[in-house]
Parts: sequence; C-alpha cells; structure tokens
Amino acid sequence: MTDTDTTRGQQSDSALRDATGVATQVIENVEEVIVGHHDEIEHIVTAMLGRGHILLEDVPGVGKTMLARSVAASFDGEFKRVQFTPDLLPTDVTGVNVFNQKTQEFEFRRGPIFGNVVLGDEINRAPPKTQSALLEAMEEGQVSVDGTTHSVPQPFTVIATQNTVEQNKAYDLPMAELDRFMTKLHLGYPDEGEETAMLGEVVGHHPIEELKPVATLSDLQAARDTVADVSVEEPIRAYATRLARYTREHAELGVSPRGSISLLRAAQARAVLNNREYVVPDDVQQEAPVVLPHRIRTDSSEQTAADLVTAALNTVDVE
Amino acid sequence: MRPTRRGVGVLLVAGAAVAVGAQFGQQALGAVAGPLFVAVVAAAGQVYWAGTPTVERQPPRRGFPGERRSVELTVDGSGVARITDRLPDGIDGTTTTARSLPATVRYDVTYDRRGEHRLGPVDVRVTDSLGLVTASTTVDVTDDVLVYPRVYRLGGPEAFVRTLTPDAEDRQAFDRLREYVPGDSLRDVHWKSSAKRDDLLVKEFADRNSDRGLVVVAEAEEGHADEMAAAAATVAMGALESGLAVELVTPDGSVDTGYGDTHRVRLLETLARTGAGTTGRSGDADVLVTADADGVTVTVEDRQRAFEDVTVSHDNPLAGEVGS
Amino acid sequence: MSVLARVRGRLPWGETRLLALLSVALVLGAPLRTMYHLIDVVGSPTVFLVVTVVSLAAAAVLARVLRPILAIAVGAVLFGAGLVWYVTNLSTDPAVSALLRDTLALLSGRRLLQIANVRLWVISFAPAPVFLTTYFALRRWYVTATLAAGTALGFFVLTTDAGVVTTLLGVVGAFATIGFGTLDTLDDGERRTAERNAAGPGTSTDDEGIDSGRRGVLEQLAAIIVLPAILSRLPSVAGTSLSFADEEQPTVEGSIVDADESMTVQGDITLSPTVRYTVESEEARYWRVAAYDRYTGDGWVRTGNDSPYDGTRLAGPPGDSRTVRQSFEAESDIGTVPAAWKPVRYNGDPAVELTTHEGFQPVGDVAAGDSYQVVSEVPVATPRQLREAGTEYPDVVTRRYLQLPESTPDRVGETTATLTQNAQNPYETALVVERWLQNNREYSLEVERPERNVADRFLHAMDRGYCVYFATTMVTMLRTQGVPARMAVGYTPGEQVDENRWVVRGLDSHAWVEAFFPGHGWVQFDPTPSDPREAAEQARIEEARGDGVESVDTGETGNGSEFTQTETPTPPPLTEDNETTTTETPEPTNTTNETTTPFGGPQGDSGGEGSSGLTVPDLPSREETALGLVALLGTAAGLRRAGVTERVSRAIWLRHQRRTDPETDVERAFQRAMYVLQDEHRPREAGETVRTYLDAVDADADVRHLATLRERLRYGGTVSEVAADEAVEIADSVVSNR
Repeated sequence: MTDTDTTRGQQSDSALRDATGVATQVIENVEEVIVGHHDEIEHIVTAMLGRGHILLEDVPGVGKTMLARSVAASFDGEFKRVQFTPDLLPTDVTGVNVFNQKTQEFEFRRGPIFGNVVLGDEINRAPPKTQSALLEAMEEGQVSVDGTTHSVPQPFTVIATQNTVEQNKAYDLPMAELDRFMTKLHLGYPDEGEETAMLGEVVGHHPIEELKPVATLSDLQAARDTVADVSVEEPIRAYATRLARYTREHAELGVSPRGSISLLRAAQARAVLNNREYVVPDDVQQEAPVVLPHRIRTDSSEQTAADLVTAALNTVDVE
Repeated sequence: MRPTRRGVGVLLVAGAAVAVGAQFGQQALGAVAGPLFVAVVAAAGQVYWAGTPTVERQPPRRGFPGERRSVELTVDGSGVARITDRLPDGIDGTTTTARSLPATVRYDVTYDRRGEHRLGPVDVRVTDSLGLVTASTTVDVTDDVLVYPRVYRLGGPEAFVRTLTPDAEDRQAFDRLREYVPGDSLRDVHWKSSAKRDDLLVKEFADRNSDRGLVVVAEAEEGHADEMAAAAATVAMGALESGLAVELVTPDGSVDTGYGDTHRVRLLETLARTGAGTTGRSGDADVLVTADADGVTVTVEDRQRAFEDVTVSHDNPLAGEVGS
Repeated sequence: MSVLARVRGRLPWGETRLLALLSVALVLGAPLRTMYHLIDVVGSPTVFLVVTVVSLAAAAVLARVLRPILAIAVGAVLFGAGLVWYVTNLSTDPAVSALLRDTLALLSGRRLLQIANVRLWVISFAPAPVFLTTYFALRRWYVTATLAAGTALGFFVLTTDAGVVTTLLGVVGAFATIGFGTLDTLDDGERRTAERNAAGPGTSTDDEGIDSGRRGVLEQLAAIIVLPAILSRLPSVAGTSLSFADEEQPTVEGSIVDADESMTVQGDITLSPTVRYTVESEEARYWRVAAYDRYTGDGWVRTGNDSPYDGTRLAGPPGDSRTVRQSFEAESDIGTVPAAWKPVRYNGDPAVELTTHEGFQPVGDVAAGDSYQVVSEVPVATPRQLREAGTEYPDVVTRRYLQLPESTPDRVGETTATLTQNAQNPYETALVVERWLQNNREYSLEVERPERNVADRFLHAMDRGYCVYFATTMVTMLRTQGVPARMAVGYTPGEQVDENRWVVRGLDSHAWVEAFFPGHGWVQFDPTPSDPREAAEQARIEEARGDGVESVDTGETGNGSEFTQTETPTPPPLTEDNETTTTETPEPTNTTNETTTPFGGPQGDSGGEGSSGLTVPDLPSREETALGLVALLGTAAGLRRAGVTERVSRAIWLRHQRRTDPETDVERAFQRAMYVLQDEHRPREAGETVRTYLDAVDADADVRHLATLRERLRYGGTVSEVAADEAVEIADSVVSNR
C-alpha cells in the first residue's frame, strides 16, 4: 500500500523518494530469487533500513540462507557467513591476532563478522561466549580482541537463523539476546504453487548466481538517515507505550523499552516504504507482529506470544 | 427488587403520618407523607433504571501457593452497590466492597492451594441513592486462575546430579557427521571419513549436557496429590535449571521431553492440574516420585530417599519470576 | 487554578462531605426555624440563639473526643435536664397527669403557641436535638443525625407549628443528609483503604462513581419535591392528608369563626350566604364567638385551656352594665355558640365549656335545630368614664394582652405614636386609631396576603383589606401604645326580620377589637368601615338568591336551594407563603393621603408608600427558591442520566463549528465526520486504525481526504489554513447530508 504525498516541495521530499526507491528496488530484486514470502522480504528490508538485526527461525531447508544471501547481494557491500557450532570459539567469529613471521608482529586477521551483511546460521548452537561476541558487535558496532577494539563496517546488519526442529539440543537463546533482534521472522513452507514454481527456478542454474546489486552502500546509508528523520509524533509514541504496557500486564515478561524503540524504528522504516514522512498507527500495527512476540514470555502454554500481540493490537486504543 | 429496612421504616413513618393526619388534621403531615411515599417510588424507579451493572474482571496472574495477588473489577452502572466476588476454595481473600457506581474495585487474594480455580460469578446488590430499595443480581463473569504447585530448592545442582541422575555414560563419542559448511571450525573435521569422499565431513558433537534428559514419573495415593505435585515440581525445576531436558509423567497427563521457558510453563501447568493416582510408567522413570500417607519418597535407580532429605530449603527458587 | 479550585483545595472536607453537612444544616434548620418563630412571637430570641450556638459549639468540639455512646448519654441528660427545668419553672404547678394530657394534646395538633410559657419550653428542649444532630453529623453517623433532627421536626409537624414549606425543606434535608451522607461514608472508607494500600499502583479515588452518586441523590430529591406538589393538586388526592396544597378560597366565616384555637390571616376570601342562626334578643349586639390574645405576625393564637362550665352565673363586667337576654336557634350544623359580650349564664342543648376569654365554646358540634339561651351583661361606660379610666392595668392583663412578636417592625409603633400624639388617654388613642383605619383603608375581599407582619403591611404597604386586617392592625397599634387589646371574632347582628329577631348568615361573620379599661373591662371597637362591608354582604345575598341558593333564606327571609359547602375544619394553612397559591398580580397601590383625626392631628400620610403602579410579579420566598433550585438541579441530573443533555449538546456540536485555529478546526471537523460515520455504520473499535476503519465502512473519497488532512496534522505535524477550510467544508457537507 503506497501513499503519494504531492503537496510539499521541500528537499526532504526527494530524499524520501530516493529512500522509498531503494527499498522497493531491493524488494523486487530479491523477489527474482525468492518465490513467495513477500511480506517477510519487506520486513527484512524495513529492519535493515531501521538499523535493526533480523532473526529467521524455521524448519531446515525452506530457504533461510538463500533469502539472506539474496538480500545481501542486492547491495554492493560485503556479505559474510558464519556457521555456528557448539565448539565455535569467539575468535572464530571476530578474528584473531596472528603472528606474522616476516614482520615479527601480531597482525589482526579479521573474522567473518566484518561484513556489511553477516549471516549467522544456527545461532542457537553457538556457545554462550561466542554468542556474546556476536551480540557485542550487533549492539556496539565493535568487537574486542585481546584488549583492542575493532569497529565493524557500517552499514552493518546481522541476519541470524535458527532451526526450530533442533531446539532441544541447543542453547536456548536467552531473552536478553532475543531482545536485541529487531525482527524475528518465520518463513514456513511455501504453498503449492510457490513450491512448484521455485523448483522450476532453482533446479537449473540458481538465479542467485545472476543476481546483481541494485543499490550502493551509500544509498543504504542515506536511506537509513531518511528513515531516522521520519516524524514520530506523540500520539504514536503513546500508542507504542500502551502496547508495551498491555503486554507487560498480560504476560510474565512483556515488551521492554528497548522493544518499544525497535518497534518505532521499524515503523519509521515502514512509513518510508509507503513513501510517507511520518508514522501512522497502521505502520506500527504492521510491524508489531514481527517486532514484539520474541520479546514476550507468556503466562500459559495455551497462549502464544503472537496471540498476545494480536490481542494487544485488537484491544489497545489506537488513539 | 425489595425495600430495605430503611425503606420499610420510611413507609411505616409515611403510613403513620397519613393515619395521624387523617385523625387529627395536621396539614404539614401531607408534606411528610407525600415525599416519603414518593421517595420510595422514585427509589424503585432509580433501581429499575439502573438495571444490572456490567462487571469486567482483570484476572490475577498465575502464581504459587502463598503468593498474594490483586484482582481488579471494573463495575459499570449506577447507584450504590455492594459487590462480592465469589472466591473458590483454594483462594483466600475478603472480596466484599460497597461502592458508588461506576467504580473500580481492587481486592487482594492469597493463593492457598494448587490447582485450577474459578473466580466468580459476581454478586451485586444495587441500592438507590437514598438506600430505600435494593435489587440483587448475579453477574456471570468468571475467570480461571491456575495456581502452580509448591516448588522447593533442591540441594544444589552437583548434589542433584550426584544423588538423582543416573550414572553418567561415556560421552567421548561424537554424535554424527555432516557436511562441511564454510565457517565450521577445522578442528571438527573428521579426516578419516573425509578421506573417503570428495568433500569434508565434520563431527557434530552433542553438547555434554544438552542431550541428557530426565524422565520424571509422579504417582500418589488418594489425598496426597499436592505433596506429590510439589515434589515432582521441585525435581523438574531443578533439573531444568541444571540444563537437563525433562519429560514428565503424571497420573492425569504427561509432557514430552523438552527445554526452556515454555517447557517449564507446560510442566508446571500439568503438575498444577493433576490429581492422585498411578501412571503405569513407573518402570520408565529416571526419577520416581511417590506420595502416600507415610510421606513423599524419591527413587532413582535403586536408591530411595525421603523427599525432605533432598530439599535444602522451602524457598521457592521461582518466586518473583512467575506472574508477579 | 481557578479561585473555586483553590478554595476547594483549602477546605479540609471533600465536596460530598460539604453537601452532607449542608443537608444536615437544612434538616436541623427546619425545626430551629420553627422554634425561632415561636420564641419571636413571645419575646426576645437572644437567649434561644445563645443556647443553640452553645449546643452547636459543644457538639463540634466534643465530636472529636467523645465516643458515640457517651454522646447519646449527653443528649439524654440534656433532654432530661430541659424537662426538669421546664417543669420546675412553671408558674403554675401542674400535676403529672395534666402535663401528660397537655403533651398528648400537643401531639394531636394543638399549637405550642398556645402554651403560656412557650419561651421556657423552647429553651428547655432546644439543646438536646441540636447537640445530638451536630455531633453525629460530624461523626459521619448521618442516619442517627437525621433521626435526631427529624424527631424534633416531627414534633413540630404534629403540633402544626411547622409550616408546610418548612416541613418540606426539612424532609428534603433529611433525605439529602442520608443520600450524601452515605456517599461521604463510602468515599471516606475508600480513601482510607487507598491510603492503607499506598503501594498500589495509581489508586485514584473513584470520583466518577461518587459524582454519579451525587447526581442520583439530586434526582431523587427533585422527585420528592416536584411529584408530591403535582399530586397534591390531583382531585382524588386533594383534601386527603397526603395533599398539602391550598384548597379553594376560604370563606370569611371559615377562616375566622370556625377556626379553633389558632387562626391564620388569609388572602382572598369569599362570603358564605348560608343562614346560621336565628336570634331573638332584647337588642342588637355583635354576637361574639371567641377572642384571641397572642399575635404571631401572620395570625392569632388563643392561649390557655378551656375549663368546664357548671351552669352557674358568672361574674359580670366590672363597672355598670345592663342585662340582655338572647335566644339562639341554629339553622345549620355549626361549631360555635355566639353570644353578646359579656355572657354570664348559658343554658341550652349543646354542652359548653368556658374559654380563657370568658366566653362559651361547645364541647361537640351544634346541630341544626339546637337552641340555647344566654344572659349577657353589656358594659355601659360613658366616654368620659372611659377617658378617666387610667392605666392601672392588672398584671394578668398586661401579661397577656400587650404581647407583640419581637420581629414587629419599630415603625408600627412609631407610626401609631405619630398618629395618636394628640391623644391624651388610652380611650382617645383607641378612637383615633379606629377612625383612622375606617377612613384611610378601603374594604375589599381580595387581598394579597402579606408575607411578613400583617399589621405592619396593612399599615404601611397595603390600602385595602377586610375585617381581619382592620382588627389585627388596630389591636397591634394599641398594643404598641401600651393599651391592652385583643381581637374578637363572631357575627354582626345580621338581617333584622322582626322587632327582636335577626337572621344571622355566614357572611355576617366579623372580626373586631376589644380594649381593656381598668374598672370597666373589655370595651368593643370596630375599625372596619361599615358601609362598604354591608354593601358587600348585601350584594352577596342578592347573588346567592339569584343563583337559587336555598340556605340563604329561612322562611322569614326568602327561599333557595341548599348548597352545602363541606367545610371540614380548615386545617391551619401555611405559616409561610404557600408555594401552590396562584399568585395574582397585585393592584397598583394608590394611597389616599387624606388623614383626618378628630383632634387636629397632623396632615400627611402615615407612611403609606405610593408605588409607581408597576405590577411586579411576586418573588418567591427564600424557601421556595431553595426548593426550586434543588428541583432544578435534580431534574438536570436526571436528564443527564437519561442522556438527554448529552444528545442535545452533541447535536449542537455537530451542526455548528466555530472556527478558532487550524489545528483545532481540522481535528474538530474530523471528529464531526467520524461521528456521522459512527452513527451510520458502527463505532470505530479500540484497536482499529482510522484507515482500516474507513476501508471497513467503505467511506467516501471526501471523508478519506478529510482523514488524510487530519492524519497529516496529527502524525505529521503540519496543517495550513487552506487545509482547515477544506476540512470544515467537508465536515459541514457530511453532516448536512446525513
């Protein structure tokens, strides 16, 4: 759903149009590779524009990795991948100081975290220390190795995946870590038509091999700045607060202030996607189902976090 | 709808005024009798038009026995009302308040026993503003509250492992092999198998503890289900905390093995609802909890302990985490 | 903060408590007012006020420290002490049985004003209810407080000293106390529990509930004010003891002669043409029925008890007298036995008692056909004897016949003094006053009953009235000059049909004056101009004959049909202005300024105010205003609860939008359009955004445009004049198209 706003002729107008253009083009680009999952692709793009990180959770083999790679390939930035295992060390992620024989000095060999889009597969299998290295990079934009800090490149987005099937054997991601992901998406199996079409696509040459970037890193950065400038007026902030308080009153653990901030940032990105320079409640309602549930721990096993968020959206006064 | 004692008194005074006035002719008695009769009629009208008030309850959150919760009733309507929320056995509290509607009533309850309890319905007695006529209704607003069984503190994870876990097996062997994916650590490569193939195969280690599961079976004689549930809950929670996966079998339901917060909630739910009885699976148990008139015993392999000996305190390690 | 809010903040009491205490003031004020009036009639109210204030203050102080049980004990002690004080201070020493009998008589309608020492009575019994009511009100035991005040009021209602409006105010006050008091107790209890659970999140006192409760009380109060007043007028209810509206215009006879021990001066009045008696007498006299000694300001009370008559000859008047023998036959059912003053022997069918004014009063009713004979001794003092009578009045006379209410304006005495300044003795004073009234006031049966002191108004503000007004004023004027006087009621001689026979009709009933002269006793004066009166009476007879009324004539005078007006003893009407009387616009007062006194007194008027001829409708009394206000508030509350006020204000809000600034305009326009949509389709749900809602109800393009403008304002922070104009235009068209 796109609005057109034609009554203002100011400079921010063109910046908005550019940002909207970046987003739409990336989405279209990814859809050349990925059949279906249109909403999820939109959410990934909005999360990226909102400076957030994404967690994809699903059964194996539905294309999580493919999706992440396609998104990364749409930009001309660096794409790195980390496969998490139970014995992965933090330095395997961040990089390590290596002794160079020739120069007789320690050099820092960068790890896979130094990329613009970093795909972390099966993050729930990583041991705690490794997880925290990744989280530090997500949160602070830098990593520390042997006492020295190194900044990760900007823009920096982490797309992490976890398989639902193997959850028993893994380290459950604690709530504090889940909270740092702006968006958690669930892909699910494609429907019949999509599945058939997809098979046709990928059995031969995989289309991802031909995917070209459609936006530069500076485009992405500019779009992010535009998103940050989107107006979030008091009624929206109040609405987000009401939603958060509702979840806190009706669940064992509700949405934290960090969660509300993420929600608003995602809503800002959604507004830009709709070519609007201000957030409306509909943006918030569209992003809430992917931004909030993973931050909630419900009271009962009958009601899932997603149910609670749906109830919140239906009950809380929009204005 | 009926008059209150005060209303009856007013009618009597009015009647007396009419009688005396008819006998002796004091004119001002008309200014007494008339308004008094009209007051009762107007009161009846007010109560009639007030109708049945609507009640919305904000149910209290789940918790453990001994915990206090606050219940909020939003009552909409008019008039002066006496509101009583019917409490089940198993939940204690004083719930009667008198308020002028519309009003929000808050009262405290204490969870007494585990189990599924139903709050409500709400008895409302509406009186007019002057207290002359009253009407009683019952508003059918009920909410279910689940109270978990008591959970105690086991004697530490090491002690637990020592006393309750089956003998440790050899954990040197890895679990399985799978294909190499860029990013895997080279140390994990299983060179032997990889030599036979084109690509590398890596060893997938199972986490030392992550595969360990515990089957807890709980049985009890009639009338001792509460103690059984408390003991089983203590064991299960302790196991989860140590990193084990727990499977639970109770007389009224079972939970497949699992981890994590949602799993914990499921375990507590099952233990909250189960009654006494047998399961028929005591043979599969890693830990068997039995409760009878002599007390609660915990059996691991052949070793049997009184449950009391295994608890280090009656503090609830989950207090404050659940539903406060 | 507004001034009101600041003042409210300073008060230690909440609004509801204030309302409850005001109501207590009302329910206590009703009996207090009655007591004040009682005291005022007989003397200075200062002591009474002091006693009341002290009781109030004591209760206020003790409310903090004394426990309720002790307070009840204190109240009982106060009551007992009052009782003892009263009984021991009575000048006579009555037996217990007499006291009990008197109390029972009071409770069955005998006015307290008839008690000789009513002042002592009030002062003795005032403190207990005042103390108890105040104490319990401050303690929030509102029902008990109401009972205390209500019992006091009830007593005065039973003795008919409390007027209808006062009683109504008291009843309203009682209900208001209970209503607001209950709310206050709830509010207070809630506040306490909120303080105890101070840890609770945001426990605000439920103002909305208390607000709604207050309105509920007002509604009920309005109902009990308005409905009984309406119902009183219904024909089936009027006349029963449930009604308190005035009945049809009373007759002169009904208001004077049939009145029992107390009478109230009426307003408009009619003449009853029914024949009452046939008299055979040696000469024509005024046939006197009774006299009244205590003036209340708006009426008369006869103090003292009747005593039995054993048939013996009574004492005649001091001084010279001559004998007149009379024989009466009653022509209709009646309740009196008139006779010429001063009767000394009675003999006849109806049994009689002796009144304190030495007249006869039948024990039961007198039936048509009953007859009786009276021997009277008529005083025959000459004017010169009366002039020289002196002023040595016996104590028993001055105690009773010089009384005036404390609230009588001073100007009554001043005016009278001016008028009579040339009179040299009481007889001349009486003559001056009699003649002045005859010449300076006109006779009329239509009068606007004055609210305050009848004599004062008749003397200074009114220009016409009937016999009761003339007589009342003359007695009052004489009393201000120290001349003992009283008002007598009875009949003028009537139509003479034979040398010694007269036919007395109801329209012959009359009120005149008796003044006391030492050595001669009570002497008769009549300040009512006789010619206009007789003319009016004759006209009434002709009119009744023309109407074919039978009872207007006996066989000796003419014939007509019986026309009975069932006159039950008219209950004493209101002491205050009756709210249900249809108030006529008073005629313009044009005082004739001729004042002639036989002794060359000064010209100039006596202070009659000439009003400009404007007809100003009568303002309602304070009490009526208060009741009307409460009724109005309550009706407003009821309307509000029924949603009427909301609907009306919503309709106005919808139709017309006043432009202020762009932000407010756009928002308001949007709300108006939304209201129309809500009315046509359904309200927007809580979790539904505006866009989703508009899609769901399939809104028009212009409404959507309005929504976009508003969205831009609310979420984008931008608005312009143009946008505001557009918005209002759309809203107007949406509203008008619905």
